[in-house]
Amino acid sequence: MDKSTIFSKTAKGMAESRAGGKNLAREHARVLALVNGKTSIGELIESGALLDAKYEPALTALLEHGMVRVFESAKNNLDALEWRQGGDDVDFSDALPTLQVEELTPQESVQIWAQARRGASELKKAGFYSYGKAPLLSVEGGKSGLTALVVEDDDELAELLTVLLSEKGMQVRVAPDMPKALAAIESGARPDVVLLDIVLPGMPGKDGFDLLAYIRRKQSWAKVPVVMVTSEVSDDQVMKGLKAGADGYIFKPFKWEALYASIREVVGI
Amino acid sequence: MSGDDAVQAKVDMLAKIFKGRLHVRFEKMNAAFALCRAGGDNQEQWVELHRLLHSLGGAAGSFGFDELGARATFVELQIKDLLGQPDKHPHDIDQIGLALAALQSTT
Repeated sequence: MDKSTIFSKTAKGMAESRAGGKNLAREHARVLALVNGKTSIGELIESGALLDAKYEPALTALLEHGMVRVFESAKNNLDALEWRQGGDDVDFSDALPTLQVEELTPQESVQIWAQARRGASELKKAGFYSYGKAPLLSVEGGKSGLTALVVEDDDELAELLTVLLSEKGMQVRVAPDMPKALAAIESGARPDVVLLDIVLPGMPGKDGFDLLAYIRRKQSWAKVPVVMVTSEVSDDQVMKGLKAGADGYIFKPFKWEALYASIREVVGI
Repeated sequence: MSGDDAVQAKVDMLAKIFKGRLHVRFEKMNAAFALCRAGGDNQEQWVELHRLLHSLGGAAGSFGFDELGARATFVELQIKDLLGQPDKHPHDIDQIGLALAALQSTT
């Protein structure tokens, strides 16, 4: 078993853990309690919480019983680990692989799924969906002079967005791929809104949701409104956005009115 | 010319440029598909082909070419189904080739 692997509990595993693992063998219950979606097997062994000789049968059994799942394997992130921003000496080697998740209780899961379903339905109907309205004029300086970061790999679509947003007095920066978006987040000034495509080139296995998680973890950017731009309308996608901290969704192909309405809602203008 | 007219004129011009450059997108898609078809460990090429179609699907509709966008999205979803299959059936690969050719013929 790859010791860089991080496991997280499934809903079934969380329920069992809350019940004290009474239906499991003692060692299996102990391993289940240690699984947290953040710490790798290697780190658990290093800390002494897991015994190198004993953990594997327990984890295998927990996997077979659907109580844990592989959350992240460092092997899958080699591209990210080895990625270096050419020329700028910016190293994001540990930027994305340490994505954290908050485990939900079964009750929270039901509530969030219901919200995701409402969101997907709204997205289909109106072309956009936001998770909550920002207070009016919450942006310093009001409506004029807003700045936007557009993370979009399609040159022509990025140009269209630039023209439309500029018409509303916004200053627009474009990042066409994952590395350039990371560089913009790392070194650039915080914008008033981010429009974030989900399918992006440049870092295999990573997408806009990983960037969103990175934004939410970066203190100076954590509260920037982020609108996900998606061509996939599903409960699952909206759920991902909810969990990762998106402020809204816009359906692509977009209508300008819907896009601007969603920006107004999340920015508060 | 009012502000709205000026923006619309710019958007129309960008739509015209988009249409004029469609052949470049298809060249890239056809090149990616040729590598997909060549066999071997070509998962990256399938991912790239999927991305190109995803991009076309999103952009075309946003420029007002709704039918082209919808058709591109349809092919994109066919490829998405194939992405998860380690051994892709030749018939399924042929179907993608036909769908790409049909998509290109609509432009």
